[in-house]
Amino acid sequence: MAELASLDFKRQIDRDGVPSPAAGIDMDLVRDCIHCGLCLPKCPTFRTLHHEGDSPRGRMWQIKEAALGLVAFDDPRFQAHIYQCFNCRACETACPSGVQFGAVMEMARAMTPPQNRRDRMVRAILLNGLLPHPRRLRIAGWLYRAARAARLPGLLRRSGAWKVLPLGKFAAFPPVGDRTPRRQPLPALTAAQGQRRARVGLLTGCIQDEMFHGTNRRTALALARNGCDVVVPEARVCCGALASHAGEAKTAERLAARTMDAFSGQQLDAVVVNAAGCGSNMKEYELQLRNDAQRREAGLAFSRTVKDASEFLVELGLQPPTRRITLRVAYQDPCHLVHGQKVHQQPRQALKMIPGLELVEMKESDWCCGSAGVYNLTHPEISEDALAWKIAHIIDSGAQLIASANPGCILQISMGLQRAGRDIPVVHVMDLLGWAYGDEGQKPPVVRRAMA
Amino acid sequence: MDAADREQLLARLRGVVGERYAFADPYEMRLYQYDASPETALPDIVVIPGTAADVARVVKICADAQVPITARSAASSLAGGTVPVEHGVVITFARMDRILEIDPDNQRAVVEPGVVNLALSQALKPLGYYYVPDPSSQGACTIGGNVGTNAGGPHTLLYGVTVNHVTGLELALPSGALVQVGGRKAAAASGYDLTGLFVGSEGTMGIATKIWVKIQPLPPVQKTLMAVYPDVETASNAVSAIVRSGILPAAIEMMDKLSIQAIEAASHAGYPLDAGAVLLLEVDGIPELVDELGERMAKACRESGATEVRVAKDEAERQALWKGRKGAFSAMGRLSPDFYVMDGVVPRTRLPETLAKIDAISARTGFKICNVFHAGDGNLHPLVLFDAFKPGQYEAVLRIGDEILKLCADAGGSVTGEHGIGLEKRENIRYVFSDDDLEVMDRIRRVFDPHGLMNPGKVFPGEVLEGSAPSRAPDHASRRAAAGIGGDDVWV
Repeated sequence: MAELASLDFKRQIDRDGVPSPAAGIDMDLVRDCIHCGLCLPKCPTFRTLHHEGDSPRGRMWQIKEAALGLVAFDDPRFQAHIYQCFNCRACETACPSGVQFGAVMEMARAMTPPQNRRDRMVRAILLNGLLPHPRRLRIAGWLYRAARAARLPGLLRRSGAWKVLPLGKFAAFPPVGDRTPRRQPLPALTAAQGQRRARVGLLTGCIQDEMFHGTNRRTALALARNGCDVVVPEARVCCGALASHAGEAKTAERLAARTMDAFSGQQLDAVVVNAAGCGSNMKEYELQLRNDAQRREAGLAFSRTVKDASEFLVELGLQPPTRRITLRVAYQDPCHLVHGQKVHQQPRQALKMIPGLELVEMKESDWCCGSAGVYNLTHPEISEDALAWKIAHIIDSGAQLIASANPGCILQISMGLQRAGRDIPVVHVMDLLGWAYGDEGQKPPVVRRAMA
Repeated sequence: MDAADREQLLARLRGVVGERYAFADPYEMRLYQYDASPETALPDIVVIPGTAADVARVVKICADAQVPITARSAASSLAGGTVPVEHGVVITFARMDRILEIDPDNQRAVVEPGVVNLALSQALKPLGYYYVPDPSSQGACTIGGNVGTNAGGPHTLLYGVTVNHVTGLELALPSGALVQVGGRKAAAASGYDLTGLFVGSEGTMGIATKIWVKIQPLPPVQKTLMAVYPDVETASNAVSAIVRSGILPAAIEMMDKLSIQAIEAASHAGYPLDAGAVLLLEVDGIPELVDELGERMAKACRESGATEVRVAKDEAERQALWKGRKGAFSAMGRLSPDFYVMDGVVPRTRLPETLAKIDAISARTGFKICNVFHAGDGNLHPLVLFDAFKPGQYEAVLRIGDEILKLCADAGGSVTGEHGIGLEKRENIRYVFSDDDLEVMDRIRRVFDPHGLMNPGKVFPGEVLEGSAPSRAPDHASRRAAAGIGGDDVWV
């Protein structure tokens, strides 16, 4: 059999000269990887699949080879390994060489849209068809709430129909979130209470605003109670996180520009985001706008103003909430918060400020739960494996409630716990803070009892 | 291997581990051509067995087919130890990562080869124990790989390297046998110390499938000191002075200016960027002892020219200093796209002159060379920074490496301290062993691996020409054949 060209850079370069890498891949970023292997034990897909091609080092190697033309970007095997990645970026935290794995992965994905049917459908319907369009989102949100009001989830569970329906598990085990019809959108300005300390914008988001509207309200409350004027742009925007993380570069670029416009001219000290995936994406707008010479600089400047909600509040100096929530709570680190934004302590510090709340640590709290953007839709089997680990660790921790900070994680873990028959609600850190500040909105029974 | 042979072998291997865990797709083979060294070579087939019995079957099938076998787990080897230079079958241990038994009262644990070094210590921590050898790559490297290279680490100065902590092995041999050496519940010394023979044999005699290790109670207190020196020479003289003062710390590590820059860029560990060199020292034991030793050590540092001695004030600071040190190699990615690391050893007393000579090589050749290493052992890790995309640089760097290792050997040291000889240093090994020495080692190896199928092309010098038929015999074979030693059945 003819040997494939070996990636023996060192000698090959002497023989054939320096290769010219593919446009669209920043070779300097790729070459930061020195293939030492320190990332391997931290990779959730390597733990499940055991193949080097499904490890961070293996993926970097493949991207390097593809960029140099040794393998094709649209090779189905290249695609399989590249799209089998959660893009959770745990490898970035483990990497002493400072490889920006997330950025490289997004570039690689942008070079090769996936060919399989499931992936293409998710992209067409969700990433490009639904999320960027506020009116369609509203209709979808209405349908979602109507289905819940009609007790459709229970019906699906009892009949067992969820097992055969596409997306059945998500429909049958919805998160505890808001069941009530969505009320008024957040006001354009929520005034600071007490002494005014800052003026911030709040991203209400796409999925977040339809499924977790109450979380947005409680985030605004927590900010206002801490002396912030909270500005919500009139134009509802999706920041493009799911699109960019999946490599839909064009959609991501367009949504980034639109999001920046929505917040411009408002004299804001910070743009606060309560969804980890969105925050991480918005902190990297320079990357999303890399092909837009005019906006790239502005993207960088905008990114510097973006803060995760608990990151912002803890840095500002959180006023202690007064209401007691007597619960044992474990915090699940969303990947795009702990690995993507390096925000690890702040959500825990915020939770510890709540009277009566006991914070416990679960094992592997910084491992991906398998939600990973749209991954649980495109790769359900691998996603389920990661979720099984997560559920086991949650049960071991003895927590009565899980706090997290990203809609995707909350949806996924919530579904997993319900299916396992556990009455352990999953809520946002801002939900707990909001309740402790006196929000009277709907609460899961566990929380109601803990506040009685 | 031709396509038909490969298909046939693949089918047999799939019969053992299933389709998913034996594969030969050329695309996938490219992902098993590398480790953490700069060398690469493609395997023909990769197998990911799940049990020791499967490993034994796989090894037997390969040996019967006369196909080379290379073991690989984390592939964090810095010496090309897991690169399948003569192709054939690569066996990886990604699935064999279970801790089989922990018996604190008898101070032992039993693990599979794919268990990550740090994962073992983390599992032992709640019980108040740890596994001592702590290679800097311990977050990734596996106990199996540690056994292969007889790995060291900063804390082996006082406590000894892997061979001092492994009490038994279960081995898959080319004959198909699964044998156990050592691994008795109590320390036993009957018969040959075969465990000692296998540790450090780099997979050239058999493959460890189960490992018995000694575990130690965690020291009650660990104190870490950082001593800042104006230059590398003063710091390296200080190493001997500290030992002369009557204290043998658990670890003495040195980092030069360039390394400190890389480390600080990577992890903000807290090393001073303006230091000429830094020594990182650690003592452990009961609090009273540690306080006393710490003070004496600080005194010895100051007397040997340290401008500042800082004691890590809490566990967080201590961890940060160690994290920086242990991430140093990988942190070189911050300074340079590529690096080449050596693993030479010199007597402690020859450190200053050796480092000066390395510095002179750097000045002469124009390549930056960092030094971050186990100073207490005299185990140097010069890192030559280069750019593989610049024609000619790699070859030049290999020549520099050769020169540095020669220098270490001439100083009375060796060409490897802990990374193994692997592919990288198999020619340099001649600096420390004569042909007769090598011949004895080769004869021992062939008792277990008569046809030279286990990790061929490693440890022993020998030409392997790219694209030519594999030559498994070390190049002193012809001389031995002429002398009438061995037969055709042995010398393939």
